Amino acid sequence: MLAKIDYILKRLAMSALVLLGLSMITFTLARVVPSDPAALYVGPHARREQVEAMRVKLGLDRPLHVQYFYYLRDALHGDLGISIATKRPVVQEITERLPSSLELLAAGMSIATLFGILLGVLSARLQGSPFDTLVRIFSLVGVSLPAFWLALLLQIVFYRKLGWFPITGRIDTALRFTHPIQRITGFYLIDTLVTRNWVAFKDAAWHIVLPAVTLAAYPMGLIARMTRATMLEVLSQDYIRTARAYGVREWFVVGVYALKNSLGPTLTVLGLSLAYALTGTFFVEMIFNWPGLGTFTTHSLLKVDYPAIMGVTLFAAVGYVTINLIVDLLQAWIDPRVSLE
Amino acid sequence: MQISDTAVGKDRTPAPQRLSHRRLRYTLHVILRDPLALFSVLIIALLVFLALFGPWIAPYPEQGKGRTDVPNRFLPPSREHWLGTDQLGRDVLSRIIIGCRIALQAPTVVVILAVVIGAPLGALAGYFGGWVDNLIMRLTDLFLAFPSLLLAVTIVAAVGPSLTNAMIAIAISWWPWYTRLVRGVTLSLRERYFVEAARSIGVSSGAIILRHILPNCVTPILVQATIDFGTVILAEGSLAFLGLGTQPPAPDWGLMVSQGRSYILDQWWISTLPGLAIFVSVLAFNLLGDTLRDVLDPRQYR
Repeated sequence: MLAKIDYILKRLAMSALVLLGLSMITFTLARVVPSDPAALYVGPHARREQVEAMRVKLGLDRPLHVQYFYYLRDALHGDLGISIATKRPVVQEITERLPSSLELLAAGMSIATLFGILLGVLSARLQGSPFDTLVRIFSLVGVSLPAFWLALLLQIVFYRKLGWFPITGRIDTALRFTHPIQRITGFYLIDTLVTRNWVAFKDAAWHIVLPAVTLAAYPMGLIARMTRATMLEVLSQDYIRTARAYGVREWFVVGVYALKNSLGPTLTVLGLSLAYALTGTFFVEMIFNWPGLGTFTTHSLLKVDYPAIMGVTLFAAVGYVTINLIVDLLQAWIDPRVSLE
Repeated sequence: MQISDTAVGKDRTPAPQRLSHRRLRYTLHVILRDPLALFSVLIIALLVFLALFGPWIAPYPEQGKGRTDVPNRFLPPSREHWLGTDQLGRDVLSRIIIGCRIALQAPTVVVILAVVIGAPLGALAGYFGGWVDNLIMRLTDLFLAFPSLLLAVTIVAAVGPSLTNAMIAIAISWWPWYTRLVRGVTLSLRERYFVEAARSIGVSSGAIILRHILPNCVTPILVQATIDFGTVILAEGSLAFLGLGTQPPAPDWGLMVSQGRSYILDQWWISTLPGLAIFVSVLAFNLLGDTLRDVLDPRQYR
């Protein structure tokens, strides 16, 4: 127990340090690297006085550590600057768009985890069979597909040729008037379900299928491969053989004993695939016109909306570190050996 | 020539296999027998061939480099243009062929940079331990805490979009993996008798690292580098797709997909085919990397 608490505290302390270091990196990229940060922050159409004013505001004439202090202080107070394109605080832009990106991420990662683990387990159990070969090819393909290409492909096949799914946005624009969604959490699928807005629910669900599947491809491949590899190792262990000898039913042996012991490395891979999914949302949202953080970022990149770009980067990095921390703590909870290392 | 550690009863964990002549021949033997591996090697050979001799093979090399032919735009695949023409009338096949050069340039530069930066750091960290190890590991953790593409995107946004900047940015996000890899190998090798023996006759630390430790790292680095080739092609293509890499009119595959996006529903060949090129290349490198890993590195060295 004490070892666990020790591990948790150590992990938290390390995460805090990492976050600090992250802020230093983003600070360096935001203020130190560009040749004229003030000009970048104010935009290409600014007058000289505005550039000068921004220079003072950013404290560019002050020594670096003072600049960094102000940068950190502002960030901790939730001030990430004003977006050049929309003239609103970057934080506001982020919080407005966050639920829709989170919904997409959640949908994609759920599909990836569910099917990834399922396929990995079955493939390991049926090692050598045609099914196994198929799954291995499938996972390899998933890991090699460019996200933007898959998105376009799915659009052509499932919209143009088959007409099964829509390809733009989260919901049909007409429905905004006929069956408006009451905003509770910002997650359309949850909100419509809770308010029994069935029409909107079906529409939102239909809209999320293609983007979520695109996002899930790479993580699913990764998770399937890792689960399969770990399961193979676990299934050759003595305690599995003992369980079978005792007459425990096969699906229980595989699905409970073996699976529980295989989840450790899978959890690690989950963190890794989340990084990919995070950056994948850039392309998926862009191509499917999904009104989330990813589209905002890609538009900011195109317009060189510097405060927005830097703000989103810091936010995304912090989010990623936090989720990795949670995954690590989860792993420590599931597998006592981790905290004893 | 090393005293068998197992015979002396110390440290039974296997070391990475050294890249000997025999091992290379065995690897070749395995590859030639496995249809998937053979397929991947052929694809890679094709890519290298096209990268080197593309301008002489492409049917419309000038269009490949960017000359437009607007009256002939949006032509579907036909006998004159095997893969059709794009929105500016340029032959898609030629552009894909000439694009091979860019597609292979990025991973080469990135992997070399990442290894050159990352491997020595990993060896230093693993060999000397203590505060050196701590410092380097904290740095590595810091860079790994960023999703790699996000870091690359931000760097390019800060310094301006171009192929060179994209390559440097990706390399900056990539080196930590090699540091971790080499550090792991170094840690497992450090306690071996041959290192102790070398030290006891006065071989300097630097020489030990160079002559004993690093050569043993070659196989895991090779496996990782092969897979990374594919991943970097993907990363560079993604950056180009976002407009942060190669700039038009260069025939970068990611850029081509992005430019053809508006016409995707009817003139599908403009975006789909360059994307297919990316996919096949990445697949080939991943396949080869997997095979190499099975042959050269059966126990994961992470």
